[in-house]
Amino acid sequence: MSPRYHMPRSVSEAVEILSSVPGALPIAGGTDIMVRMRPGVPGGGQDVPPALVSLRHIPELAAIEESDPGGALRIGAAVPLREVADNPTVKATLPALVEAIEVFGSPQIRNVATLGGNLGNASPAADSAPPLIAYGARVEITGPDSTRRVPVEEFLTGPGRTALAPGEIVTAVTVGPRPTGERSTYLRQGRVRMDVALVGLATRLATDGVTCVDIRLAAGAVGPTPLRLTAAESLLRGSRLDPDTVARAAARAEAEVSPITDIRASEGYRRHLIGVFLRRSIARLTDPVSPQEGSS
Amino acid sequence: MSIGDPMIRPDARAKVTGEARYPDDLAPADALHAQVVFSNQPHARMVSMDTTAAAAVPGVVMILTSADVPVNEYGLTMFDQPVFIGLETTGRSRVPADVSRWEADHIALVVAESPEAATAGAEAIEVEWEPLPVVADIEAALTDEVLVHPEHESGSNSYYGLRIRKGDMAHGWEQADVVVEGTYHLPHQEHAYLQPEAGMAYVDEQGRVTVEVPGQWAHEDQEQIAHALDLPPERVRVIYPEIGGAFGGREDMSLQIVLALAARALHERGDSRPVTSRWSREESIVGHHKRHRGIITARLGATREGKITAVEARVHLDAGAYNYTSNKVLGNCHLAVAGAYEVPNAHIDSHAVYTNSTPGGAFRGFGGPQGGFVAETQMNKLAEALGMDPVELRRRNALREGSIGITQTPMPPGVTLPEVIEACSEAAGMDQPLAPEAPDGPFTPFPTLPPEPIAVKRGRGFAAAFKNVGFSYGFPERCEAEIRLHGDDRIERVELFHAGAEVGQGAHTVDLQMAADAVGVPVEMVEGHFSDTATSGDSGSASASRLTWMSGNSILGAAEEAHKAWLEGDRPAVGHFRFVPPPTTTLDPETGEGVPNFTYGYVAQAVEVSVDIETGHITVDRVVSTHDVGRAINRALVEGQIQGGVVQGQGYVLSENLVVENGHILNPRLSGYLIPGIGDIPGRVDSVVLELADPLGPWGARGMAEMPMITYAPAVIAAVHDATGVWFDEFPLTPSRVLAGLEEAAPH
Repeated sequence: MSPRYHMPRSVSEAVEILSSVPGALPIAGGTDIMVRMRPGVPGGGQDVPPALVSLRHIPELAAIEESDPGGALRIGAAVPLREVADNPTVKATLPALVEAIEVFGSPQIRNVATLGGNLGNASPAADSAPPLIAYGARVEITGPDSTRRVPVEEFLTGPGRTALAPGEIVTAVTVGPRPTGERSTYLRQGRVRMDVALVGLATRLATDGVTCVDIRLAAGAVGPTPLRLTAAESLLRGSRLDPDTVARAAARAEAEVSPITDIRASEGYRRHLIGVFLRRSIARLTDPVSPQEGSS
Repeated sequence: MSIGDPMIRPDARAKVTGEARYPDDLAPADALHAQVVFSNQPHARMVSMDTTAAAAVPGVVMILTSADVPVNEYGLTMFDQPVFIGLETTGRSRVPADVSRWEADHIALVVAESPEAATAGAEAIEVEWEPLPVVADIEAALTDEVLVHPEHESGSNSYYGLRIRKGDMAHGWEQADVVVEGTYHLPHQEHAYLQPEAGMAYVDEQGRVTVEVPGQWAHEDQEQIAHALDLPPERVRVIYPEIGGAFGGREDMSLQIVLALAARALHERGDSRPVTSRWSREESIVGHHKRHRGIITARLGATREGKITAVEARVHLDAGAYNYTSNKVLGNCHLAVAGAYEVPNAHIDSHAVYTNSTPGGAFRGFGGPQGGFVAETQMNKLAEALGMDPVELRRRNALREGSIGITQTPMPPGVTLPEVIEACSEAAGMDQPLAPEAPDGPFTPFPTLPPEPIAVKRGRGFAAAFKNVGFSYGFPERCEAEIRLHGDDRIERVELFHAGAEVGQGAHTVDLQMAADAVGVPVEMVEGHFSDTATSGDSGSASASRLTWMSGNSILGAAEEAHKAWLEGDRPAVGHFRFVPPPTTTLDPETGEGVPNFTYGYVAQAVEVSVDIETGHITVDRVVSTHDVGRAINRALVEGQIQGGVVQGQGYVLSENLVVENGHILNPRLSGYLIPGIGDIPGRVDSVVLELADPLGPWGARGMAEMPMITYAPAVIAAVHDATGVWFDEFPLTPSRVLAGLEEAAPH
């Protein structure tokens, strides 16, 4: 009934167990897995794996490191979100990620949930994914034979599905150095404060004061995976950020997402919110008197 | 003097530290574990059930089914529900047991050595069903094509009705310069108490089948258990441990009868181990009733001067598969739908309707929130149509001392609605323009989206209401207390015996305060013995805002009796008293004439909101909740009830959206059914507490616990209208519903 619980002390040991025990599941904070494991209505979807492999006792998964001054940042997969958001380098260089974490779950959940877990769970509404995609982050994957890195948007392949092969685990998320002058933000809305995102939008913007030099838009909960809004990006890139242009980009963004209707919100509502969020994000990132702070 | 002292509740420390024992904490290590098996069939006839494989599951001790229930029926006001659906019965029930009418109908109880074995046993039960067409909602029920209870032989799913025929409707409409009308869809609401259903049962040393379980009325639980087990009530004992919230959701049976059956069956086998059971959150949400959903159509007419001339209403409440308390809830809704106003001409028809959906039942306000929503939204629409201030419109129509009520009899003395309306209006500054910015408060509403000032519109709404205190419509109403005075020359110790349920509201705290004051000793000298049918007389339920009012009167009587005995030299001096309030009556079936209630409580609320018109997200900035409580026995507990009622109202009107499709609840989890969290509650709640004595209340106290819930939804809806110009006749106001409403109303 209860799964076997493994506590490996190294990545290689963890990978070894995951490769040899069919159906074994890696677990870090457990905020998704434990919910799925609890009995609800008898016979009503309880999901208990045969074995759990804890990633909480592996030092290299628990650290945030800068590879060299000004170089890439490597966030261990099992670092709790609270620690990620409190890290001075993350705060200084990845403000949209910090904003996403601050609206993620509750303080208790943020204390144990991890970045690797949020990506590995592969919810289309995962809050950490849009900012990481906007920053061009990569997922470091370690398997029995090798370590590879794939962009976050390629790692997430569908609802609950990732590019992980059997035996592989997420070991870190890496983000390249951030150029100065770029600003970024993450907007999201739930029905109540603590709710899965109905829609989330991460925006990373570089301007010369008037014109958009570069922009990256990544949206969550509006498709089977978090996705780049490339049509809206290309309209804005190189354009003056006047209200008319931004409105046209918002219309493009609304057209290029593919949300669904579910218990939480309608397809039309989600489409509409993407446009609102795009306009508000650009207003926020181009407002000279309101330098960005954490959203809360 | 302990009356009026906001003393710290004696149970606070144990509850905060976790020492308090709730029903799921009771089981000793050797206890057996029971799993209730739901049918999962909203409407189906049982073809066969085989428990052979389940009984063979290692650890399974026994399986109880319909064949094991002496009288296979129960119900708080009507026996219309089988304990177990099944093919074999004793033949002593009037309710056919072969048809599942609700997805949470029980088909068996599996008793095992461990929870895991009980669950495995439950999953091994094999049942074959013949599906029947599901009566999914009120509209489907009203066609009467499929009957939920054909055995009632009425030919209709609409099984209980009430009427009001007052005055001359033609005259009323003729006098009306303005008429407003609307059709309102009221949603379900889930109680979402902290502690899901749980309990433990055993046969005590005196041979009584004993159930320790959370509930709201120990003696009623005892009676229903005794009926199903075919035992005299005194052979059944019900004890309430700490109770993790109730709100009406524990008025009806959940685990009481099945645990009692199991305890007796084990005892008969010579197994003396207690048996325990608990529901998961999902089982709790699927397995107990909800606030009724309903459809109400209403018309309201008034003169240019704002005097009401006529009210017409047609009410349908979804009772679900079984009555529970639907007939009583309907009665309250029936009174509330005309509002707390003088209405010369009225024509109201109300019906409870069976469906194969989740049962409607008791929930804080008990029909008042549904009726009150319609009455107050109609009044706010009328104010708009007249171009009149909504407070002024209420001033001109409010029930006052000596008013004739909607049931054509005088209101019970002590009508203070005009004073409550004035106090609320003044505290909220209703005669001043609404400030453009939200006021400061202890809580900052915590939108996940930074506000966009240009898209945020502020608005303010007002609503007022009344609610009966105590049982209505001739339902037997009483409350017993016993006080024992110990000592020699002077009283050294006081014992209070009372069955009233402490469901979290602080009932036992105020019982001790009232007993201390009634006897004339410090509260520390009073020792309470509570909520055990073996030691206390019947108190009636913790419901209908009645407990402080009824308990207080019973305690006053018991103290007086005890004092008499003391003077006569009895040691200990024992006073037992059974308080009976003035009688009430049913309504005349044709005209609705009658005396439905013996007293009322009065409430008014003003609410300020901010609406993000681009996202549809609403935050409540300020609530002024005004109550005449007659006398605050414990001011801190009164304010706790106000704050809690407002938060529960916040969920009802804004976020709680139970999705029921074809008889199945699709979101039986708190991640999908969204009650407000700390980040969602109003930024500021100002409690305005008036103390205008109820002539019959103990120390002048009035009931108040349901009242904050009743006016909140219409006040918020009015505030959203004030902000956006759009009326919402259906809620909860989820962001997407708000946005759709705004878009529909926008000029194209």
